[in-house]
Amino acid sequence: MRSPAPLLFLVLAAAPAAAQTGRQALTAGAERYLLADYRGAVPLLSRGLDPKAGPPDRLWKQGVERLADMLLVLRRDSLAATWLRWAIRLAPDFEVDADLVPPAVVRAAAAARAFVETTPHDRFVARTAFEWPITISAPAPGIVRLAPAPIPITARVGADQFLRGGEARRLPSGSYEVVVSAPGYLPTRLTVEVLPGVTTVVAVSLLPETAGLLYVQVRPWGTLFVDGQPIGYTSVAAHRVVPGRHVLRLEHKGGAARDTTIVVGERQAVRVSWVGQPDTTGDPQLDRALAALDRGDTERGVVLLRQWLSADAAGAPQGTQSLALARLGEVAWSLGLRDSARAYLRDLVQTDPFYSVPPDLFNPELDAAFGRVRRETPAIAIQAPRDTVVTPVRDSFPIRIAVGRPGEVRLLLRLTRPRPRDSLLVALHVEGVAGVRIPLTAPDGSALAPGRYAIEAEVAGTGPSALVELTVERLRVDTVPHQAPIPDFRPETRKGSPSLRTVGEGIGLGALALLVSAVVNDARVSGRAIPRGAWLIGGSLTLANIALKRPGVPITEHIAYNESLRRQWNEEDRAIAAQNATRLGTAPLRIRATREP
Amino acid sequence: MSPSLSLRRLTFLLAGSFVPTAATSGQTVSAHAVLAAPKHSTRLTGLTERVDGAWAGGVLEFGVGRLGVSLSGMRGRLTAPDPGSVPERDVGELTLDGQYGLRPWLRLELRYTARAFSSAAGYQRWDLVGVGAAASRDLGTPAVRAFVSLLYFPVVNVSEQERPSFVLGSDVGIALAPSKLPIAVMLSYRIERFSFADAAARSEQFEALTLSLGVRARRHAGRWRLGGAEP
Repeated sequence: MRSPAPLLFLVLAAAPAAAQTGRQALTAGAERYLLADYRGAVPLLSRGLDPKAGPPDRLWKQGVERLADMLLVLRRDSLAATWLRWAIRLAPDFEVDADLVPPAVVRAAAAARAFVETTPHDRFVARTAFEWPITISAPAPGIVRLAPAPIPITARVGADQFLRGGEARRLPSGSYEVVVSAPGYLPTRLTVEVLPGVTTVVAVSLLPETAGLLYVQVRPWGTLFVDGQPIGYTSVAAHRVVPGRHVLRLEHKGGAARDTTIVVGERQAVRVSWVGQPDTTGDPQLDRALAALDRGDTERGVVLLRQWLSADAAGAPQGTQSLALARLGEVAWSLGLRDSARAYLRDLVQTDPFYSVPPDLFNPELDAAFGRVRRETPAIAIQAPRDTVVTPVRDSFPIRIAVGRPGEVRLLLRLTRPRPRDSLLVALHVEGVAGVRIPLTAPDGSALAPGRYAIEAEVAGTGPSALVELTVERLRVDTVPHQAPIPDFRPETRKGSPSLRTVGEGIGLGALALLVSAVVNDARVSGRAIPRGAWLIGGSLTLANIALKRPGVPITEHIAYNESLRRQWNEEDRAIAAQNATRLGTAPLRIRATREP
Repeated sequence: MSPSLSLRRLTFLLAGSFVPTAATSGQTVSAHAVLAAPKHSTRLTGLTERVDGAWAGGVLEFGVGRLGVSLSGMRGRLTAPDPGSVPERDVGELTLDGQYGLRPWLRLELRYTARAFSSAAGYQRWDLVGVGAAASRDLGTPAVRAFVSLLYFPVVNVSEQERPSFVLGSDVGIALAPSKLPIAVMLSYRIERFSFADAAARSEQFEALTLSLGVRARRHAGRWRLGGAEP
């Protein structure tokens, strides 16, 4: 009898890909994906995304992206959305690479993130774990199991599925709301993703109805532990704790840990504050609100801040409104109100894109969220020195630009007087904050003329715009006075002899005067055919016409003399003008920003 | 239609023609002192009676765009060359003259003149309304112009005396208005010839050689300035 070893080897060698380890399956799935073998790649990538197989590293994130891409191509977009939600809930900093994945995946990931952010859960009360099968077939249902607990707990899954501790239920893949409750305990609510073939284990440790609330305000931010259990980054607000004695530990990055013991009474709110440098602005009401937040009186601080924003923020000094919005965002984030926190952060970006959040205020999670909000919020602002003196040929004018959503920014110089016109100064890609230096001389070397200008920055396309108005004045500079007009020109013509035509015209005019008078005159009454007055006027007209209409005869010598005077005068005047232009061109300019958005 | 009624109608017509139709930028005003040597000749049934003398008076002119209006008043005394043959007469004359420029060299003219003679023999008033045209031409320079005008007087009223049947007038002269100086000088000679019905065997003629000297002012940008030329 022949040995079965070769046959056994062949059977093992032909085992399906699903039998590979998680990382091997990811690699194999990626190869199939690159070969466009989607139906072969989906089970492999599904198998390889098992979180127990390794950390959510780059390979794992690529696996999620590729799996979502394939499912979208295969028109299984609800399953793609479920995988993306699961990945974002598992790894909150998961981001698809928008430069590499198709736009449909980017859109699906954004929708998944929005869904996850609106369905948070108290991770200190409820936890989820996943049991991965050896093989995954896409159409298979998933399983939800409620982990057993020492108290009689009940869970409602979705609209009509009920589980007791230790029970499991097969469900089509998708997102389900789970509400776990027990008599005498606070219920908890969470949303879980059910994946094909994967068992989602929901474990809860419900808090009694008498649980207290813990508020911890820390600056600089740190990581909080309660009885050795990591709670997360500070600040912490309205965190429920079992009544009794607890040990709090605060760890700062690169600093020594702080420990303190608190005793929480039933339904008691305990407020702990480790704020090194409180915020002060000089506005009494705003400072009162910030002080309330710093001592952990979160609810009161929020109310006071909102009142200040609605009543007093309009005329507040620059930066205070942004500080208030930043603090409100931070508080909303610590309360778990992620949507509200993002709304405040969005307002913050739109109010002042230049605002730089104090580094000790936002913890890394909030800072990352702020970065995302900033990149999604269309906003722009520009800043110019309020009052500066520059020399055009040597200096340039500094402008700072800040944007929310990155984009191509066009900077336009708008001349408002004497007539409006504008010209493009520069176009540049801005991410966050950028500086531009605007030359003050034209290509021909002429300096910026004094006047009123506006510099407008706009994001290419239909983006927002910002404006700063400038008044440019040339500082006083000594110029050479122009020459006085030439005083001693010689006469260039003299009167010549009257022409026959002039004599004829004169006689004609005189005759006309005589004729008109003679026509009206009654010689029998006046005693003269032509009255003496008519003779006087006619003669005067004739003489005046002959005298005044004599042609001018040019005097060549005088003309040449005058021309030489003019030429010399013009040369000297041009030299003075050029000298003055040079002096004016190098004269310092005083530039004042008269209005900023 | 009675002469007085037609005279009033023409007076209203004259006044209406001076109402400016639109605001214009060029407004000028001038005032002149006038010296004149008038001569009044009357021929009646073959005998001619002549009186002459000296007048003095003034003229006020106002111009807006193409329209011009002037008001002049003269007063003086006329005496006969042979003392005692004809009584001395005091003469006063008031003239309102309106002009409309059709072209820079041609103007239509409407004139009303009231002239009164007063002597030991009595008082006599002449009211004349005339229409006509005046042409002018510069003599080598815009500052010196020659002018000639012809007027027909359709309405003439003489108090307590027969109205003339036909009246014609002329005015010729030379005017000097330097652009750089606000003065204006004018020398003119005018004749008014009055013809009566043949049955009366009467005709009269009024002549005056006039010399006037005045100052001009122009309104520019809301301010009046001396001088006649645009700044």
